[in-house]
Amino acid sequence: MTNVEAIVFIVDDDLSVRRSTERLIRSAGLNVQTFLSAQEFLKNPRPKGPACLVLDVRMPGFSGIDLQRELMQLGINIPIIFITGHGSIPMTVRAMKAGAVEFLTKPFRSHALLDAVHSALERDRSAYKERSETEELREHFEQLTPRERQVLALVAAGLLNKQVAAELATTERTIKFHRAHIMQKMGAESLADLVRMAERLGVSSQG
Amino acid sequence: MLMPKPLLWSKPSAVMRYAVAVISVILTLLLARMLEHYWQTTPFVSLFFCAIMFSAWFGGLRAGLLAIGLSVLVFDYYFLQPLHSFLPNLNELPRLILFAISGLIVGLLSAAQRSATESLREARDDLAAKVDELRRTNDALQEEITERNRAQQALHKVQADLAHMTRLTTMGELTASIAHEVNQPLTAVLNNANACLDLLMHGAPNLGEVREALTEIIDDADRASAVIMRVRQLAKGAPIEKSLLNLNDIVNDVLTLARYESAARQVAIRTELSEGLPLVLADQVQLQQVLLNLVVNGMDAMSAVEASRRLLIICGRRETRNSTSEALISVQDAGIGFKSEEVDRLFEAFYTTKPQGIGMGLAISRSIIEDHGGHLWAEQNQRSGATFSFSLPAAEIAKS
Ligand SMILES: Nc1ncnc2c1ncn2[C@@H]1O[C@H](COP(=O)(O)OP(=O)(O)OP(=O)(O)O)[C@@H](O)[C@H]1O
Ligand SMILES: [Mg+2]
Repeated sequence: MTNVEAIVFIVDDDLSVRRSTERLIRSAGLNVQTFLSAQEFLKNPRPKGPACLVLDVRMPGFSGIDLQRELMQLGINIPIIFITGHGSIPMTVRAMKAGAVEFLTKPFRSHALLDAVHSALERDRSAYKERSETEELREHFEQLTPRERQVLALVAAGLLNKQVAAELATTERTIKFHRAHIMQKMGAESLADLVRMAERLGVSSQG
Repeated sequence: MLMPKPLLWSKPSAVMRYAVAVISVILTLLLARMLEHYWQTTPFVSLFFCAIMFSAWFGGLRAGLLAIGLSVLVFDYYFLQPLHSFLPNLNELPRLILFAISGLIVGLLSAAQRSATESLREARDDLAAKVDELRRTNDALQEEITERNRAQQALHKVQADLAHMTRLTTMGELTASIAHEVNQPLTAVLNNANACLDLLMHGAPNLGEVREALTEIIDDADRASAVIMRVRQLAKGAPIEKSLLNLNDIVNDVLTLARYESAARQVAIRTELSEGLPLVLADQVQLQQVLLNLVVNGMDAMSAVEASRRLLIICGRRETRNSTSEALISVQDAGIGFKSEEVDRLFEAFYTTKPQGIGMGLAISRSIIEDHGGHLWAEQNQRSGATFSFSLPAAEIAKS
């Protein structure tokens, strides 16, 4: 299966719904992790791979809508499939605007849920690819010395070696040496590649 | 009505009485004269005593005295020397006096007997009248009792109808909650069934997993049908049926129906039920109704309160009042409470402070609890909110 590393999180306070939803999704060949409350979901560390969240709207204490808001504030962009007893239209609209993938009303058709899960995972898989690439880049970037970061920013801004040397009050040779090092550390194949990486990381000379 | 008895006829009229006295004396005279004439015997003086006795017995003392007077005159005139004169010889005088005294005694005795009979008759008539009156009073009373029973039955019927109606309105407030309680297990059943299909489609299905899913399907179907049964019981206007109940079960039943509603209203519900709660003899549906109403009222009272403070505590414990055991349930909220001068009005029919309220909840609840020989009352909490409690007498469990 190509899906192995993807995971579906289920947050539902009702034991039988939680267990049966888990079984349904697992039997479709997906990984599942369940939580019985929004707090538990926030508290526990989660695997980093592509994921989606099947979330009960109405839970005592911390509701599904509350969790969605909290995740947005934490900058966690996970696609959410809401499950509700009776979806009020304003609530549905609000949740969808906040990025929910699907809104299912209990009792829902199992295929509707699985379809929603698949498309949510599809969506997160590409997001994940981007995320993990950026992550990797950032890790590489972290390895650069402060001097190298300065050089990278100036190179990315389109300055020639000579101009960079002037800017940093050093020799062109030194800059060439730094650049080779940077290319190696960042794993860039060409100058164009390096510039793209810098853009992606939001590196700029203004600091 | 009175049946006339031969010896106890009622008193004849005065004319009749005197006429009978005169006639009997005259008849005696004629008879005595005839006897004297045909047999030439001494006159049958005793015949006059018969006339006197009869007159006194028939006509009373006065008729008796009249007969005596007449007899003395007739006796003197017709039978004492000199005949045909009212002036008797001196030597006949004792006979006349003796006759008069004997007549008097006979007459008085007879009259006395007559009057005794009469008082007896009067007493009996009185008694009969009294008995008659008593019977009439009794009939009237009986009728009143039947009427009252009928009224009471009608009242009970109306009360039951009303209870049923308010039960339906309370349940109406919980429809979303009830739907949720059915939809949850239904969702689980659908999920598990589809999971089974998926599992069985694979080459070598994991039968352990399939069996587990099927077991859960059965459990969830049971759970859904239990909810439906509970709802149907509540919705049905079934006649009152008392049985031995554990109030802990009633609390759990009600919370099953109200759980989702309370979550939606962000009300936390805590139960503090004691194992020692005695059983009570009561109608299950009616008690569920009372508790449901108290719980809904408590949630209503807290809607204006900050969400983090919305807590409803349901307590159940054994109490002893006047050395008898009682089961006590209290529902404590942290709501807006009520004013102390309001406390009696709360239980009045149609008293409500809610825009959508009918104001029947507490009135019906109190009548249900009192029908079961218990009490329902309200108290203000020290800090905030109100506590509504009811107590029911513990059922006497037959010693075995
Ligand atoms: N827990 C409570 N705290 C404060 N006030 C209460 C509480 N319970 C009842 N009351 C007051 O008593 C009134 C009567 O209650 P009751 O249950 O009889 O009728 P209701 O709830 O207004 O309407 P309904 O007929 O729909 O139940 C309420 O309107 C409210 O003012
Ligand atoms: Mg009420």
